[in-house]
Amino acid sequence: MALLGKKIGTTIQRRQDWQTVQAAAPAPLQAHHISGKECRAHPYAALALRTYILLKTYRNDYHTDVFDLDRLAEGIRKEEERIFFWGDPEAVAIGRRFLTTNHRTVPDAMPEIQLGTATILNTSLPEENSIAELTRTGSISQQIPSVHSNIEELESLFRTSGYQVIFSTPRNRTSTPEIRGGAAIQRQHVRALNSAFWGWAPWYIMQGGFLEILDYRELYREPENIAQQLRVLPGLFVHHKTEAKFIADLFALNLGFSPPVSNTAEGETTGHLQKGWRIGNVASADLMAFNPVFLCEDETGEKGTFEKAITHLERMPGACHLVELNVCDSKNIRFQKILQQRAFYLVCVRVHVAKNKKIKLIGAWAKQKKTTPVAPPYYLNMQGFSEVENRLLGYLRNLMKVFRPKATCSETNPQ
Amino acid sequence: MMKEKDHRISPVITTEMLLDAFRQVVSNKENTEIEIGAISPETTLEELHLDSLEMAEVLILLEQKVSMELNPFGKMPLVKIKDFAMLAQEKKTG
Repeated sequence: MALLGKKIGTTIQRRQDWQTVQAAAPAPLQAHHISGKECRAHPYAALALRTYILLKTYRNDYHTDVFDLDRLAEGIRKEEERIFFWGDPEAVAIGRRFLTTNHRTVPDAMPEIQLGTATILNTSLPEENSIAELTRTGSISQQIPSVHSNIEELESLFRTSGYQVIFSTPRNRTSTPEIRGGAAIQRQHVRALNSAFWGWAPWYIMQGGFLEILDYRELYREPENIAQQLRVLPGLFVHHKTEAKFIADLFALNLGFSPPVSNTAEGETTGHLQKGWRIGNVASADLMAFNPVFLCEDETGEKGTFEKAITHLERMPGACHLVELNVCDSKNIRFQKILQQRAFYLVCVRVHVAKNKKIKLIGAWAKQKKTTPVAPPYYLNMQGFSEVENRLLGYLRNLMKVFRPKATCSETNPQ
Repeated sequence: MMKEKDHRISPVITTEMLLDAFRQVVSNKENTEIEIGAISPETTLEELHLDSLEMAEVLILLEQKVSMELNPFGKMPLVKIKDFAMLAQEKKTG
């Protein structure tokens, strides 16, 4: 029973669970799935088809990196970007014909094709190939759910690629007649994909101009290795008591135990530490207003104080300002204190797996613009299926008081 | 003092729960000609034209009401609204 997530299982368990889901597929997979491998041979047509579906799904209100066709086509050829589609057999047959007849150039016109699409995108640092994102999801297919296609591609990538973590930020908002599917998609990630829940991703402005408080979720190539390393982490360092409890509860949900979290660091100083910082964003200038801008530690980045780096960050345009810090590093406590003073809140943690499979845990602190309307998860006022889930929902409700001073979107309240 | 009964958590799916869940999801459909008041336990899924996303939303609402995970891929064929009541029984009998 889970509303947010279940404990991280084993590779074998995942394989069995996914096989059970695949056995209930409405038709043989080949008939309702166009694979990433097929799309790789026809990059321009795949990109055009993806954009067409995304714009239809989000009613032309879609603002992410899907328009720069030449660069993205190169990414597909290099397997940095893996696009796939699903739909009923008739739509899939039309989609296949479209791909094979438009494989070299951008197609002149789009036929009416009712398909769904998703992409697995390499988001690793240069020289790494360990982290990818399941993203760019949309569907105008009426009856075929995305789950079977997602599992097929994820399983294939875990078998053949170097990815250790595939993360996603699935939608979870309450459906309206115009903005659909959030609750169903979140449920699929919890029940069918069995991804680990590590908090929320409140950093994209999405359909209708709402900042959506998306789930932050991860899948691991070797879940046993991740779980084992998380169990023996030498220490977690979180300054704010409520945020320390949040991390402990995320561990309880994903691993079944709460680790000790310290709020002090040995030899802590209060002085201004000069360090390398990098400000980044994943969007081109015209998309920046809809996407986050983030600050993270980077040895090769500009040297300076944390205060100066944050001031610089807050001057940048973006849907949300985000600061990432390693919570396994006790020295970062001092930076967390500054984040608290500057009204940043911990929203999620992510597992970073290096090429050598060693992990660290990165916290993400977010600060919202108060003027953006916010769409909370559908489960905001629901009851969790365990005490841990209820505590995490309590943390979310407190976050929402900060992120959403005035109610800006209805949510499901079954009571 | 008598403890107040929690009406929200119930081990069985009642007709009222079913109608509430289906009506809520159908009311969020765009361009639908279905009259909410006309939805009854005998209404078929085909008549409602629910897609896979909407079916999942119905299940979420029902699960909250019965505090139980429901599996729509069980042995029972789900043709009419009233058939969904069997999901909870199927789970209990296992």
